[in-house]
Amino acid sequence: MIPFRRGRDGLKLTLPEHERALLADLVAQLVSVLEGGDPGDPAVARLLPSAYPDDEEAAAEFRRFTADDLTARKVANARRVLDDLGPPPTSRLDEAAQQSWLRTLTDLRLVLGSRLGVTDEGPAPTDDPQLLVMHDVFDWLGYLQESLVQALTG
Amino acid sequence: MVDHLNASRDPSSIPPRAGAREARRRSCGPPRRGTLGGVTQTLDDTRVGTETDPRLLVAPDRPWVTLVWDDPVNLMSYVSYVFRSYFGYSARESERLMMQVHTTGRAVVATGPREEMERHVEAMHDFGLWATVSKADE
Repeated sequence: MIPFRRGRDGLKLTLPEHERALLADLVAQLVSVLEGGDPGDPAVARLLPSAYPDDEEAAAEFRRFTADDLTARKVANARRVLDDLGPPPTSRLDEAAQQSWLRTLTDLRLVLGSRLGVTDEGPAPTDDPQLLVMHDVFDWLGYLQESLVQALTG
Repeated sequence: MVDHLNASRDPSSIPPRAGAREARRRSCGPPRRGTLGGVTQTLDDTRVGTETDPRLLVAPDRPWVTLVWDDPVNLMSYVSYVFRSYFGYSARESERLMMQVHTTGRAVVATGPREEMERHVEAMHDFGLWATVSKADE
């Protein structure tokens, strides 16, 4: 089953119920990471990276002027995705929803990637069965994202 | 403009080891005309044109850039899509920039005034891309 397909009036979203539930659970966690806004959390640092890595003063000023707005927009995107996941689930995504989905899937993968220690070689090796499940989840989110980008550009 | 600025600049009139920042600070103070006689006066007059507003020197020659950095999470197709949809680059150019990020670790995706580059960086962060602002050639 292809999750995202281009239709006449926007994108058609097809996700089985258990996948919608899993995604909703993850997106709700993303919202709490964003609202927590702990600057010491590496995942938060990746969501709001420094704009001036070599200039602390300029970086702090940029953060002061942008971090709240960026966080609010990320939270709004995530809430839009939660709404679409339902219940009741939405099957058509208009342009605004498509943009929210793109960004939320990205933010979710960035947070999970940070938690799993993802490098160019993939997630950090582990024997922990729970983490291994999250590796699959990370791959699955990548599949969803790829499907969405293909539907928008293909 | 550059010619005009350089024309009156006699290299021998600049004290050795005086950094640009120091020269700038000194030139901002009240004119010390005549305090040490004619030589000092000439030095100050020379600096007024070249050092008072550093942006006059920096802006035309060294603009600011938006850099996008490689990261192990974002999909290549997504990065390409962002360059295309946000900056309006052609599919081919977006692909080229994405590959440059992927293979060399980073790419300049925009050049211009600092404020504009900061807006682009904020937009990239909104998309979840890792982007920074710096002066060109840094």
